Amino acid sequence: MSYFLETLQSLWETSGLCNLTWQSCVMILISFGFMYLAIKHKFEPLLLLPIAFGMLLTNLPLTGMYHPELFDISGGKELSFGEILHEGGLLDLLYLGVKLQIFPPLIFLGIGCMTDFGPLIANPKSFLLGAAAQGGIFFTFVGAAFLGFTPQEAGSIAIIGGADGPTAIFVSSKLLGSGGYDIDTGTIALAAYTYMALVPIIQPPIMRALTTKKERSVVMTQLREVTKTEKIIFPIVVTIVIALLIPSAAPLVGMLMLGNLFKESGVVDRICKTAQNELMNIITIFLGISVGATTTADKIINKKFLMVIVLGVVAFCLGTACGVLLGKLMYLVTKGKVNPLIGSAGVSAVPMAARVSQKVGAEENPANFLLMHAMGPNVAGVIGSAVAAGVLLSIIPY
Amino acid sequence: MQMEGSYVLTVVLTGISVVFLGLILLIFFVWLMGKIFDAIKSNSKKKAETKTAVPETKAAPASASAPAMEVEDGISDEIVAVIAAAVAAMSDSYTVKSVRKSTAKSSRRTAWGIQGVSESTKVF
Repeated sequence: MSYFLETLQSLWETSGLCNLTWQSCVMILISFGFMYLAIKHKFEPLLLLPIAFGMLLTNLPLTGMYHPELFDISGGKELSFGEILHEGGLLDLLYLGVKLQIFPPLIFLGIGCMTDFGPLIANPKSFLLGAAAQGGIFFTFVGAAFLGFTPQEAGSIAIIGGADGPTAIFVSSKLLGSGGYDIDTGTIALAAYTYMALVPIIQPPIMRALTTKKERSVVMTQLREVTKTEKIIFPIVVTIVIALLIPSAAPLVGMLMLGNLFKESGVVDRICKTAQNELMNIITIFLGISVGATTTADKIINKKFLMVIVLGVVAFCLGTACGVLLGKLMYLVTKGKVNPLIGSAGVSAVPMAARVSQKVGAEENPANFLLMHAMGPNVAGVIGSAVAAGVLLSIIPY
Repeated sequence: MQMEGSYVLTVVLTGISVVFLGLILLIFFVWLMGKIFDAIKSNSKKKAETKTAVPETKAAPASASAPAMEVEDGISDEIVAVIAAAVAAMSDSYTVKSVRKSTAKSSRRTAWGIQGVSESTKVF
Protein backbone atom coordinates (compact mmCIF):
# COMPACT_ATOMS: atom_id res chain seq x y z
CA MET A 1 0.00 0.00 0.00
CA SER A 2 2.80 2.41 0.92
CA TYR A 3 4.53 1.57 -2.37
CA PHE A 4 1.33 2.41 -4.20
CA LEU A 5 1.06 5.75 -2.38
CA GLU A 6 4.72 6.54 -3.10
CA THR A 7 4.18 5.83 -6.77
CA LEU A 8 1.12 8.07 -6.79
CA GLN A 9 3.09 10.81 -5.05
CA SER A 10 6.00 10.64 -7.47
CA LEU A 11 3.55 10.62 -10.37
CA TRP A 12 1.89 13.72 -8.93
CA GLU A 13 5.25 15.43 -8.45
CA THR A 14 6.27 14.81 -12.05
CA SER A 15 2.91 15.87 -13.43
CA GLY A 16 2.35 19.21 -15.08
CA LEU A 17 -0.40 20.09 -12.62
CA CYS A 18 1.97 20.00 -9.65
CA ASN A 19 4.52 22.19 -11.46
CA LEU A 20 2.06 24.73 -12.74
CA THR A 21 3.05 28.26 -11.71
CA TRP A 22 0.81 31.32 -11.83
CA GLN A 23 3.00 32.68 -14.64
CA SER A 24 2.35 29.56 -16.73
CA CYS A 25 -1.37 29.88 -16.08
CA VAL A 26 -1.37 33.51 -17.24
CA MET A 27 0.59 32.54 -20.38
CA ILE A 28 -1.84 29.74 -21.15
CA LEU A 29 -4.72 32.18 -20.82
CA ILE A 30 -2.92 34.64 -23.13
CA SER A 31 -2.45 31.85 -25.67
CA PHE A 32 -6.20 31.23 -25.50
CA GLY A 33 -6.71 34.92 -26.23
CA PHE A 34 -4.55 34.79 -29.35
CA MET A 35 -6.25 31.55 -30.49
CA TYR A 36 -9.59 33.31 -30.06
CA LEU A 37 -8.39 36.26 -32.15
CA ALA A 38 -7.09 33.91 -34.86
CA ILE A 39 -10.14 31.65 -35.02
CA LYS A 40 -13.02 33.99 -34.26
CA HIS A 41 -11.74 37.23 -35.79
CA LYS A 42 -9.39 35.65 -38.38
CA PHE A 43 -6.39 37.77 -37.25
CA GLU A 44 -3.66 36.45 -39.60
CA PRO A 45 -4.79 32.93 -38.63
CA LEU A 46 -2.18 31.15 -40.74
CA LEU A 47 0.53 32.35 -38.40
CA LEU A 48 -1.21 33.52 -35.27
CA LEU A 49 -2.86 30.15 -34.68
CA PRO A 50 0.38 28.08 -34.72
CA ILE A 51 2.13 30.85 -32.73
CA ALA A 52 -0.61 30.76 -30.08
CA PHE A 53 -0.47 26.97 -29.91
CA GLY A 54 3.33 27.06 -29.66
CA MET A 55 2.85 29.48 -26.77
CA LEU A 56 0.49 27.02 -25.10
CA LEU A 57 2.88 24.05 -25.55
CA THR A 58 5.93 25.89 -24.27
CA ASN A 59 4.11 27.10 -21.14
CA LEU A 60 2.70 23.73 -20.14
CA PRO A 61 5.22 22.60 -17.50
CA LEU A 62 7.63 19.69 -18.03
CA THR A 63 6.66 19.03 -21.65
CA GLY A 64 10.33 19.39 -22.56
CA MET A 65 9.50 20.59 -26.04
CA TYR A 66 11.46 23.84 -25.91
CA HIS A 67 14.54 24.72 -23.85
CA PRO A 68 15.45 28.40 -24.07
CA GLU A 69 18.66 27.75 -22.13
CA LEU A 70 20.04 25.74 -25.08
CA PHE A 71 19.93 28.86 -27.25
CA ASP A 72 21.23 31.30 -24.62
CA ILE A 73 24.68 32.37 -25.69
CA SER A 74 24.93 35.46 -23.49
CA GLY A 75 28.07 35.84 -21.41
CA GLY A 76 30.42 34.42 -24.03
CA LYS A 77 28.83 30.97 -24.27
CA GLU A 78 28.75 29.29 -27.67
CA LEU A 79 25.78 27.71 -29.34
CA SER A 80 26.20 23.94 -29.15
CA PHE A 81 24.36 22.25 -31.98
CA GLY A 82 25.33 18.82 -30.60
CA GLU A 83 23.65 19.64 -27.30
CA ILE A 84 20.52 20.91 -29.09
CA LEU A 85 20.31 17.74 -31.20
CA HIS A 86 20.87 15.45 -28.21
CA GLU A 87 18.81 17.17 -25.55
CA GLY A 88 16.44 19.35 -27.54
CA GLY A 89 12.74 18.70 -27.89
CA LEU A 90 10.66 18.95 -31.04
CA LEU A 91 10.28 22.70 -30.84
CA ASP A 92 14.02 23.19 -30.16
CA LEU A 93 14.79 21.44 -33.43
CA LEU A 94 12.18 23.40 -35.35
CA TYR A 95 13.43 26.61 -33.75
CA LEU A 96 16.81 26.04 -35.41
CA GLY A 97 15.16 27.16 -38.65
CA VAL A 98 14.38 30.52 -37.05
CA LYS A 99 17.67 30.76 -35.19
CA LEU A 100 19.68 30.12 -38.34
CA GLN A 101 17.44 32.46 -40.37
CA ILE A 102 16.28 29.73 -42.73
CA PHE A 103 12.50 30.04 -42.48
CA PRO A 104 11.90 33.76 -43.18
CA PRO A 105 13.78 33.78 -46.52
CA LEU A 106 11.92 30.61 -47.58
CA ILE A 107 8.61 32.33 -46.78
CA PHE A 108 9.83 35.21 -48.95
CA LEU A 109 10.46 32.71 -51.76
CA GLY A 110 6.78 31.74 -51.64
CA ILE A 111 5.68 35.38 -51.41
CA GLY A 112 7.79 36.14 -54.49
CA CYS A 113 5.96 33.39 -56.40
CA MET A 114 2.64 35.02 -55.54
CA THR A 115 3.56 38.67 -56.10
CA ASP A 116 2.91 40.60 -59.28
CA PHE A 117 5.39 43.46 -59.52
CA GLY A 118 3.64 44.73 -62.67
CA PRO A 119 2.03 47.81 -61.01
CA LEU A 120 5.42 48.76 -59.54
CA ILE A 121 7.22 48.36 -62.89
CA ALA A 122 4.49 50.39 -64.60
CA ASN A 123 4.85 53.20 -62.06
CA PRO A 124 8.37 53.09 -60.57
CA LYS A 125 7.69 56.26 -58.56
CA SER A 126 5.80 53.95 -56.19
CA PHE A 127 9.20 52.94 -54.83
CA LEU A 128 9.37 56.34 -53.12
CA LEU A 129 6.17 55.63 -51.21
CA GLY A 130 7.49 52.19 -50.26
CA ALA A 131 10.64 53.87 -48.93
CA ALA A 132 8.79 56.65 -47.06
CA ALA A 133 6.60 54.21 -45.17
CA GLN A 134 9.78 52.68 -43.72
CA GLY A 135 10.20 55.97 -41.85
CA GLY A 136 8.01 54.38 -39.17
CA ILE A 137 10.76 51.86 -38.47
CA PHE A 138 13.45 54.44 -37.86
CA PHE A 139 11.31 56.91 -35.90
CA THR A 140 10.19 54.08 -33.62
CA PHE A 141 13.85 53.22 -33.11
CA VAL A 142 14.22 56.69 -31.57
CA GLY A 143 11.23 56.08 -29.27
CA ALA A 144 12.59 52.71 -28.16
CA ALA A 145 16.01 54.21 -27.52
CA PHE A 146 14.50 56.89 -25.26
CA LEU A 147 12.57 54.25 -23.32
CA GLY A 148 15.85 52.60 -22.40
CA PHE A 149 15.94 49.61 -24.74
CA THR A 150 19.30 48.34 -25.97
CA PRO A 151 20.13 48.93 -29.66
CA GLN A 152 19.36 45.26 -30.43
CA GLU A 153 15.98 45.43 -28.70
CA ALA A 154 15.16 48.82 -30.23
CA GLY A 155 16.01 47.56 -33.75
CA SER A 156 13.82 44.49 -33.25
CA ILE A 157 10.89 46.57 -32.00
CA ALA A 158 11.29 49.16 -34.74
CA ILE A 159 11.11 46.57 -37.52
CA ILE A 160 7.51 45.82 -36.48
CA GLY A 161 6.76 49.08 -38.35
CA GLY A 162 7.79 47.33 -41.56
CA ALA A 163 4.49 45.41 -41.27
CA ASP A 164 6.20 42.33 -42.56
CA GLY A 165 6.16 39.25 -40.32
CA PRO A 166 9.02 37.24 -41.86
CA THR A 167 11.25 40.35 -41.95
CA ALA A 168 10.49 41.09 -38.29
CA ILE A 169 11.34 37.49 -37.33
CA PHE A 170 14.50 37.56 -39.47
CA VAL A 171 15.81 40.77 -37.88
CA SER A 172 14.84 39.99 -34.30
CA SER A 173 16.22 36.45 -34.39
CA LYS A 174 19.56 37.89 -35.51
CA LEU A 175 19.68 40.93 -33.23
CA LEU A 176 18.37 39.11 -30.15
CA GLY A 177 20.08 35.85 -31.07
CA SER A 178 22.65 35.96 -28.30
CA GLY A 179 19.93 35.75 -25.64
CA GLY A 180 19.87 37.56 -22.32
CA TYR A 181 17.36 40.17 -23.47
CA ASP A 182 14.02 40.98 -21.88
CA ILE A 183 12.20 40.47 -25.17
CA ASP A 184 12.47 37.72 -27.75
CA THR A 185 11.62 36.88 -31.35
CA GLY A 186 8.27 35.52 -30.20
CA THR A 187 7.37 38.84 -28.57
CA ILE A 188 8.16 40.71 -31.79
CA ALA A 189 6.30 38.20 -33.98
CA LEU A 190 3.20 38.36 -31.79
CA ALA A 191 3.08 42.14 -31.95
CA ALA A 192 3.86 42.21 -35.70
CA TYR A 193 1.19 39.71 -36.73
CA THR A 194 -1.45 41.18 -34.41
CA TYR A 195 -0.91 44.67 -35.82
CA MET A 196 -0.77 43.36 -39.40
CA ALA A 197 -4.23 41.94 -38.82
CA LEU A 198 -5.30 45.32 -37.43
CA VAL A 199 -4.16 47.28 -40.52
CA PRO A 200 -7.78 47.90 -41.67
CA ILE A 201 -8.54 49.41 -38.27
CA ILE A 202 -5.29 51.31 -37.61
CA GLN A 203 -4.74 52.91 -41.01
CA PRO A 204 -8.02 54.55 -42.16
CA PRO A 205 -8.30 57.19 -39.37
CA ILE A 206 -4.69 58.30 -40.02
CA MET A 207 -5.29 58.38 -43.78
CA ARG A 208 -8.45 60.47 -43.37
CA ALA A 209 -6.84 62.82 -40.86
CA LEU A 210 -3.88 63.62 -43.10
CA THR A 211 -5.73 64.09 -46.40
CA THR A 212 -8.44 66.41 -47.69
CA LYS A 213 -11.61 65.24 -49.42
CA LYS A 214 -10.27 66.60 -52.71
CA GLU A 215 -7.02 64.64 -52.39
CA ARG A 216 -8.86 61.42 -51.54
CA SER A 217 -11.08 61.81 -54.62
CA VAL A 218 -8.20 61.92 -57.13
CA VAL A 219 -8.73 59.42 -59.94
CA MET A 220 -5.36 58.21 -61.16
CA THR A 221 -4.63 57.53 -64.83
CA GLN A 222 -4.49 53.95 -66.00
CA LEU A 223 -1.14 52.20 -65.62
CA ARG A 224 0.83 51.34 -68.74
CA GLU A 225 1.05 47.76 -69.90
CA VAL A 226 4.17 45.93 -68.72
CA THR A 227 5.79 43.38 -71.04
CA LYS A 228 6.74 39.89 -69.94
CA THR A 229 10.42 40.59 -70.61
CA GLU A 230 10.32 43.56 -68.22
CA LYS A 231 8.77 41.36 -65.55
CA ILE A 232 11.54 38.80 -66.04
CA ILE A 233 14.36 41.35 -65.93
CA PHE A 234 12.94 43.17 -62.86
CA PRO A 235 13.75 40.52 -60.18
CA ILE A 236 17.27 40.11 -61.55
CA VAL A 237 17.94 43.87 -61.50
CA VAL A 238 16.49 44.31 -58.00
CA THR A 239 18.58 41.45 -56.62
CA ILE A 240 21.80 42.81 -58.07
CA VAL A 241 21.17 46.43 -57.00
CA ILE A 242 20.06 45.62 -53.45
CA ALA A 243 22.62 42.88 -52.81
CA LEU A 244 25.43 45.17 -53.97
CA LEU A 245 24.18 48.08 -51.87
CA ILE A 246 23.13 46.24 -48.68
CA PRO A 247 24.49 42.67 -48.68
CA SER A 248 22.72 41.80 -45.41
CA ALA A 249 19.34 42.30 -47.15
CA ALA A 250 20.31 39.70 -49.77
CA PRO A 251 18.77 36.60 -48.12
CA LEU A 252 15.32 38.21 -47.99
CA VAL A 253 15.38 40.20 -51.24
CA GLY A 254 17.23 37.43 -53.10
CA MET A 255 14.68 34.77 -52.17
CA LEU A 256 11.75 37.12 -52.86
CA MET A 257 13.12 37.84 -56.30
CA LEU A 258 13.97 34.20 -57.02
CA GLY A 259 10.35 33.31 -56.29
CA ASN A 260 9.20 36.10 -58.58
CA LEU A 261 11.54 34.94 -61.34
CA PHE A 262 10.05 31.44 -61.00
CA LYS A 263 6.62 32.99 -61.52
CA GLU A 264 7.41 35.37 -64.35
CA SER A 265 9.70 33.09 -66.35
CA GLY A 266 6.80 30.67 -66.76
CA VAL A 267 9.15 27.75 -67.34
CA VAL A 268 9.22 26.29 -63.82
CA ASP A 269 5.54 26.06 -63.03
CA ARG A 270 6.02 22.97 -60.85
CA ILE A 271 8.65 24.62 -58.63
CA CYS A 272 6.61 27.81 -58.47
CA LYS A 273 3.51 25.94 -57.32
CA THR A 274 5.48 24.03 -54.69
CA ALA A 275 7.20 27.16 -53.36
CA GLN A 276 3.95 29.10 -52.97
CA ASN A 277 1.85 26.22 -51.67
CA GLU A 278 3.39 23.13 -50.06
CA LEU A 279 6.78 24.58 -49.11
CA MET A 280 5.33 27.82 -47.81
CA ASN A 281 2.65 26.00 -45.82
CA ILE A 282 5.18 23.65 -44.24
CA ILE A 283 7.50 26.53 -43.33
CA THR A 284 4.54 28.53 -41.99
CA ILE A 285 3.69 25.71 -39.59
CA PHE A 286 7.30 25.30 -38.44
CA LEU A 287 7.87 29.03 -38.16
CA GLY A 288 4.64 29.71 -36.31
CA ILE A 289 4.92 26.98 -33.75
CA SER A 290 8.61 27.48 -33.01
CA VAL A 291 8.29 31.26 -32.75
CA GLY A 292 5.33 30.73 -30.43
CA ALA A 293 7.50 28.47 -28.32
CA THR A 294 9.88 31.33 -27.53
CA THR A 295 7.10 33.23 -25.75
CA THR A 296 7.92 31.99 -22.29
CA ALA A 297 6.42 33.70 -19.23
CA ASP A 298 9.57 35.71 -18.42
CA LYS A 299 9.46 37.29 -21.91
CA ILE A 300 5.80 38.22 -21.86
CA ILE A 301 4.85 38.97 -18.25
CA ASN A 302 7.07 42.00 -17.89
CA LYS A 303 6.84 45.74 -18.37
CA LYS A 304 8.89 45.64 -21.55
CA PHE A 305 6.33 43.51 -23.37
CA LEU A 306 3.75 46.23 -22.79
CA MET A 307 6.22 48.77 -24.14
CA VAL A 308 6.73 46.59 -27.24
CA ILE A 309 2.97 46.50 -27.79
CA VAL A 310 2.74 50.30 -27.51
CA LEU A 311 5.83 50.95 -29.65
CA GLY A 312 4.58 48.44 -32.24
CA VAL A 313 1.38 50.36 -32.83
CA VAL A 314 3.35 53.63 -32.86
CA ALA A 315 5.61 52.13 -35.55
CA PHE A 316 2.59 51.16 -37.65
CA CYS A 317 0.97 54.58 -37.30
CA LEU A 318 4.19 56.44 -38.12
CA GLY A 319 4.82 54.23 -41.17
CA THR A 320 1.31 54.91 -42.45
CA ALA A 321 1.66 58.64 -41.78
CA CYS A 322 5.06 58.86 -43.53
CA GLY A 323 3.65 57.09 -46.60
CA VAL A 324 0.56 59.31 -46.78
CA LEU A 325 2.63 62.48 -46.25
CA LEU A 326 4.97 61.60 -49.12
CA GLY A 327 1.85 60.78 -51.14
CA LYS A 328 0.64 64.33 -50.40
CA LEU A 329 3.96 65.72 -51.53
CA MET A 330 3.69 63.73 -54.77
CA TYR A 331 0.12 65.03 -55.15
CA LEU A 332 1.46 68.59 -54.98
CA VAL A 333 4.45 67.98 -57.25
CA THR A 334 2.38 66.19 -59.92
CA LYS A 335 -0.37 68.83 -59.61
CA GLY A 336 -3.02 66.43 -58.41
CA LYS A 337 -2.23 63.31 -60.42
CA VAL A 338 -1.31 61.12 -57.43
CA ASN A 339 -3.88 60.13 -54.82
CA PRO A 340 -2.08 60.38 -51.44
CA LEU A 341 -4.08 57.42 -50.12
CA ILE A 342 -1.85 54.99 -52.01
CA GLY A 343 1.05 56.12 -49.79
CA SER A 344 -0.24 54.22 -46.80
CA ALA A 345 0.09 50.97 -48.76
CA GLY A 346 3.87 51.44 -48.57
CA VAL A 347 3.86 49.58 -45.24
CA SER A 348 4.06 46.09 -46.85
CA ALA A 349 1.21 43.98 -45.34
CA VAL A 350 0.36 42.74 -48.85
CA PRO A 351 -2.39 42.97 -50.04
CA MET A 352 -4.22 44.21 -46.94
CA ALA A 353 -2.72 47.72 -46.98
CA ALA A 354 -3.52 48.17 -50.70
CA ARG A 355 -7.06 47.02 -50.03
CA VAL A 356 -7.37 49.65 -47.29
CA SER A 357 -6.27 52.38 -49.76
CA GLN A 358 -8.89 51.12 -52.22
CA LYS A 359 -11.58 51.10 -49.56
CA VAL A 360 -10.87 54.58 -48.18
CA GLY A 361 -10.68 55.95 -51.76
CA ALA A 362 -13.96 54.29 -52.69
CA GLU A 363 -15.66 56.00 -49.74
CA GLU A 364 -15.22 59.34 -51.55
CA ASN A 365 -15.85 58.05 -55.05
CA PRO A 366 -17.21 54.51 -55.48
CA ALA A 367 -16.04 54.43 -59.10
CA ASN A 368 -12.44 55.17 -58.11
CA PHE A 369 -10.32 52.01 -58.32
CA LEU A 370 -7.08 52.67 -56.48
CA LEU A 371 -6.24 49.02 -55.85
CA MET A 372 -3.79 48.48 -58.70
CA HIS A 373 -2.17 51.89 -58.05
CA ALA A 374 -1.79 50.99 -54.37
CA MET A 375 -0.30 47.59 -55.20
CA GLY A 376 2.80 49.43 -56.52
CA PRO A 377 3.75 51.02 -53.17
CA ASN A 378 2.55 47.87 -51.41
CA VAL A 379 5.03 45.54 -53.11
CA ALA A 380 7.66 48.31 -53.00
CA GLY A 381 7.08 48.27 -49.24
CA VAL A 382 8.07 44.59 -49.12
CA ILE A 383 11.36 45.43 -50.82
CA GLY A 384 11.69 48.58 -48.69
CA SER A 385 11.24 46.76 -45.39
CA ALA A 386 13.73 44.09 -46.45
CA VAL A 387 16.22 46.87 -47.26
CA ALA A 388 15.49 48.58 -43.93
CA ALA A 389 16.06 45.21 -42.23
CA GLY A 390 19.40 44.90 -44.00
CA VAL A 391 20.37 48.40 -42.90
CA LEU A 392 19.48 47.69 -39.25
CA LEU A 393 21.49 44.47 -39.34
CA SER A 394 24.46 46.31 -40.86
CA ILE A 395 24.47 49.17 -38.36
CA ILE A 396 23.55 47.47 -35.08
CA PRO A 397 26.14 45.08 -33.69
CA TYR A 398 24.81 41.67 -32.63
CA MET B 1 23.31 49.45 -22.68
CA GLN B 2 21.70 52.89 -22.90
CA MET B 3 22.09 54.45 -26.32
CA GLU B 4 23.63 57.85 -26.85
CA GLY B 5 21.70 60.50 -28.77
CA SER B 6 24.34 60.71 -31.49
CA TYR B 7 24.20 56.94 -32.06
CA VAL B 8 20.41 57.01 -32.37
CA LEU B 9 20.61 59.90 -34.80
CA THR B 10 23.24 58.08 -36.86
CA VAL B 11 21.08 54.94 -37.10
CA VAL B 12 18.01 56.95 -38.13
CA LEU B 13 19.74 59.16 -40.69
CA THR B 14 21.78 56.32 -42.21
CA GLY B 15 18.75 54.05 -42.25
CA ILE B 16 16.38 56.46 -43.97
CA SER B 17 18.96 57.68 -46.47
CA VAL B 18 20.14 54.18 -47.45
CA VAL B 19 16.56 52.93 -47.88
CA PHE B 20 15.76 55.94 -50.11
CA LEU B 21 19.05 55.60 -51.99
CA GLY B 22 18.43 51.90 -52.67
CA LEU B 23 14.89 52.43 -53.85
CA ILE B 24 15.76 55.53 -55.92
CA LEU B 25 18.43 53.46 -57.67
CA LEU B 26 15.72 50.89 -58.42
CA ILE B 27 13.42 53.66 -59.73
CA PHE B 28 16.19 54.70 -62.12
CA PHE B 29 16.78 51.16 -63.41
CA VAL B 30 13.09 50.36 -63.76
CA TRP B 31 12.46 53.72 -65.47
CA LEU B 32 15.38 53.03 -67.85
CA MET B 33 14.01 49.56 -68.55
CA GLY B 34 10.58 51.04 -69.29
CA LYS B 35 12.05 53.61 -71.70
CA ILE B 36 14.05 50.95 -73.55
CA PHE B 37 11.03 48.69 -73.93
CA ASP B 38 8.77 51.57 -75.00
CA ALA B 39 11.31 52.47 -77.69
CA ILE B 40 11.48 48.85 -78.88
CA LYS B 41 7.67 48.63 -78.93
CA SER B 42 7.18 51.85 -80.92
CA ASN B 43 9.86 50.74 -83.41
CA SER B 44 8.19 47.40 -84.04
CA LYS B 45 4.81 49.15 -84.34
CA LYS B 46 6.14 51.47 -87.03
CA LYS B 47 7.54 48.50 -88.96
CA ALA B 48 4.23 46.66 -88.71
CA GLU B 49 2.32 49.72 -89.94
CA THR B 50 4.49 50.11 -93.05
CA LYS B 51 4.08 46.40 -93.81
CA THR B 52 0.27 46.41 -93.54
CA ALA B 53 -0.11 49.60 -95.56
CA VAL B 54 0.99 47.90 -98.82
CA PRO B 55 -1.54 45.01 -99.07
CA GLU B 56 -4.43 47.33 -98.19
CA THR B 57 -4.02 49.39 -101.36
CA LYS B 58 -3.79 46.25 -103.48
CA ALA B 59 -6.92 44.73 -101.98
CA ALA B 60 -9.08 47.81 -102.56
CA PRO B 61 -10.21 47.11 -106.18
CA ALA B 62 -11.24 43.53 -105.38
CA SER B 63 -13.67 44.57 -102.66
CA ALA B 64 -15.21 47.32 -104.74
CA SER B 65 -17.87 45.02 -106.27
CA ALA B 66 -19.37 44.04 -102.90
CA PRO B 67 -20.94 46.54 -100.47
CA ALA B 68 -17.83 47.25 -98.38
CA MET B 69 -17.86 47.23 -94.60
CA GLU B 70 -15.89 50.19 -93.29
CA VAL B 71 -13.41 48.99 -90.71
CA GLU B 72 -11.27 51.47 -88.88
CA ASP B 73 -7.50 50.88 -88.83
CA GLY B 74 -6.25 48.99 -85.83
CA ILE B 75 -9.32 46.76 -85.44
CA SER B 76 -8.42 43.16 -86.20
CA ASP B 77 -10.47 40.81 -88.39
CA GLU B 78 -11.24 38.66 -85.36
CA ILE B 79 -12.90 41.59 -83.58
CA VAL B 80 -14.94 42.40 -86.71
CA ALA B 81 -16.01 38.75 -86.92
CA VAL B 82 -17.05 38.69 -83.28
CA ILE B 83 -19.08 41.91 -83.63
CA ALA B 84 -20.71 40.66 -86.85
CA ALA B 85 -21.55 37.33 -85.21
CA ALA B 86 -23.05 39.09 -82.18
CA VAL B 87 -25.19 41.32 -84.42
CA ALA B 88 -26.26 38.34 -86.54
CA ALA B 89 -27.23 36.45 -83.43
CA MET B 90 -29.62 39.26 -82.47
CA SER B 91 -31.52 39.27 -85.77
CA ASP B 92 -30.95 38.52 -89.47
CA SER B 93 -32.34 41.88 -90.47
CA TYR B 94 -29.30 43.80 -89.22
CA THR B 95 -26.13 44.31 -91.24
CA VAL B 96 -22.86 45.71 -90.06
CA LYS B 97 -21.94 48.69 -92.22
CA SER B 98 -18.93 49.97 -90.36
CA VAL B 99 -16.79 49.14 -87.37
CA ARG B 100 -15.02 52.00 -85.64
CA LYS B 101 -13.78 52.83 -82.18
CA SER B 102 -16.03 54.90 -79.97
CA THR B 103 -15.02 58.54 -80.07
CA ALA B 104 -16.68 59.48 -76.79
CA LYS B 105 -13.88 60.55 -74.51
CA SER B 106 -14.48 60.43 -70.81
CA SER B 107 -12.17 60.09 -67.86
CA ARG B 108 -14.76 57.99 -66.04
CA ARG B 109 -15.29 54.33 -66.79
CA THR B 110 -18.45 53.09 -68.42
CA ALA B 111 -20.78 50.80 -66.53
CA TRP B 112 -19.16 47.83 -68.31
CA GLY B 113 -15.71 49.10 -67.37
CA ILE B 114 -16.66 49.40 -63.72
CA GLN B 115 -18.19 45.94 -63.80
CA GLY B 116 -15.01 44.51 -65.37
CA VAL B 117 -12.67 46.15 -62.87
CA SER B 118 -14.77 45.11 -59.88
CA GLU B 119 -14.95 41.54 -61.21
CA SER B 120 -11.17 41.31 -61.41
CA THR B 121 -10.44 43.11 -58.15
CA LYS B 122 -13.04 41.63 -55.85
CA VAL B 123 -10.73 38.69 -55.09
CA PHE B 124 -8.59 41.06 -53.07
